[in-house]
Amino acid sequence: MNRYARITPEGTKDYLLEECDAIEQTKNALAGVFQSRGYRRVMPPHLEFIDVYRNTSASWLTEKLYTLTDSRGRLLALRPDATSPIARIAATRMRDARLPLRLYYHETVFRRSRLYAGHSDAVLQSGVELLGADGLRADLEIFLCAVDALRACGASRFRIEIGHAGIFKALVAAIDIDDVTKSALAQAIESKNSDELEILLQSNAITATDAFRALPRLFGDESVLRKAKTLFRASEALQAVEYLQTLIQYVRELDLMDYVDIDLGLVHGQSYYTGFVFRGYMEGSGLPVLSGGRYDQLLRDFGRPAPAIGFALDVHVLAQASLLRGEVVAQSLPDILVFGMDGFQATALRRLHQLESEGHRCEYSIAKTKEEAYAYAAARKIPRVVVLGGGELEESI
Amino acid sequence: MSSQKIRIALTKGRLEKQTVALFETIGFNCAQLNSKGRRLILPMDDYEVVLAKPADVLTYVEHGACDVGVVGKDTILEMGGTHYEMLDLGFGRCRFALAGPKGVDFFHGFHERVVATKYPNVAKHFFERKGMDVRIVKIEGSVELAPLLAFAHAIVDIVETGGTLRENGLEVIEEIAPISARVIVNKASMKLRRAAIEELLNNMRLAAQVTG
Repeated sequence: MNRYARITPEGTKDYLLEECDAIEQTKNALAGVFQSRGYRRVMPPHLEFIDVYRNTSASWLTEKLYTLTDSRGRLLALRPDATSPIARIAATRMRDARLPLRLYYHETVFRRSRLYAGHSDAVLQSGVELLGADGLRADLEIFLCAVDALRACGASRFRIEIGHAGIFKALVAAIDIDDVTKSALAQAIESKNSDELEILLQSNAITATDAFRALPRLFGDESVLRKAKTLFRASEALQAVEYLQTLIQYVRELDLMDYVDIDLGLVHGQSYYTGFVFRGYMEGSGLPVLSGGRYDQLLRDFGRPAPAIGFALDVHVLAQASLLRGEVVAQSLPDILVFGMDGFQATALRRLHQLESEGHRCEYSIAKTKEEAYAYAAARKIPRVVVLGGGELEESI
Repeated sequence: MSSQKIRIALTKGRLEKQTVALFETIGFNCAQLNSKGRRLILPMDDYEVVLAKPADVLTYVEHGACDVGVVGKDTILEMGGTHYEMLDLGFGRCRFALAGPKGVDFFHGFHERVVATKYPNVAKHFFERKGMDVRIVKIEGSVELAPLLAFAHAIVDIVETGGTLRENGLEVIEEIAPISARVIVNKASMKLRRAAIEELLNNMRLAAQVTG
């Protein structure tokens, strides 16, 4: 049975030709931004022990992971993100490297999605991690890097929503509930479902503050922060809002307010976030293209307590958008076909080297006869044919 | 930020009439919606309206093919997905319930229970929360038939008045979740076209209060 030999698994696809050009161009544009800010590349393995993703503050749901076992039966996972492996690297192999560490990556991440819902299970992400850096300076650096990354990919119409993971955490800490109910509350807030939130609070007999009830509605422009300040009583939540106000002042000074939205109900699916969080949306894509935030606990899980912040971009979405905008420079076709007559193949290959070094793009002809080579060049629209025999015969077509 | 029209996905059928009535209350020109012929994308003032099956409304909104959708909570609970659920329109009201033959204690005894349903995910989550192992079987047609044939011990289904249940000698064992028409919004659209979408949502909210 060879039933599945001709297709790729659900959620995966082949990327061909100009799609690859677009992906390479996007990766190069992003690497340009990252490298110019002093970030250096790392390549963690595709496979990690599942502990990297399960027994840390990342706590991925098993059903989201592609898992397999190693030769000793230990459970492995295809990485669902690059942040945990990079936190592991910073805490282990780079333990002695001086902080802060600035690292970047281009890696495919694997997540099981709902079948036939039109999602990809293998997503190429590029991102940066600034490890061992706390506070406003680091957050601003990363935020600006995210904006510049989107711009470098040619995105002009985009928005970045800004929130703070500390707000939900502080407000929910005041309520005594189990984790299941907590995640249901988070889900209701994340989906801006005020009605659902009220039902959950009532059916679980939870007395929540007005601040907590308001979370699904606290999004929009800056005025949201002023409104939140009048509502919030928990000091951590208030501090988080004040922090965002300070951050926003700098964003204004950078002339980036047109790109920014506030969303205090941004709970974020990823549990390791502890502070400033953000997500980017771009015209032409219904799904987020950028996601990031501060995660001050994750490195501790790997044995080196240190604050950190980072973000990742969806390279496939960015590449597709630049293709649609017609901004991708496709790899050009060869301009010379080099053909060696019988016995002159080595001469022809030597000539090919020479022409390449002169800057030509050459294709070596595998035709059996000169006529065949000419016919091929005409069909492939290669403007010039170089034929090598006793002496070099050069002819154009 | 964009001049592109806001696209609204409406669930065909029962919710459609009430949603169109809601749009008329707002004062939108629904002429095209009322005499739609074979066209699939219909203009309505500054909006474009798409008529779709319930599950497709979720798919189109999740991917941003449509910015806003009107869909029953039943479909949202069954299908899941990522979107903002921002408004309960109050119509299309009914509930998910576990129902079984009248007078039989479903929870009594250690035997395996078979539950027939059109909504396997809703049923699965319900029994997961209870920590109960049941065999869930997906049925496409009239679910009430399954217990009558002694194929299933109970059903998980949408209950409106309970009339169909009574006629077949069944009764509600336990309520699972309330259902009504909801307005969902694509996350990117909400951020990229906030003003236009908030205006639409406000209009819909006010109209729902008037008619509801």
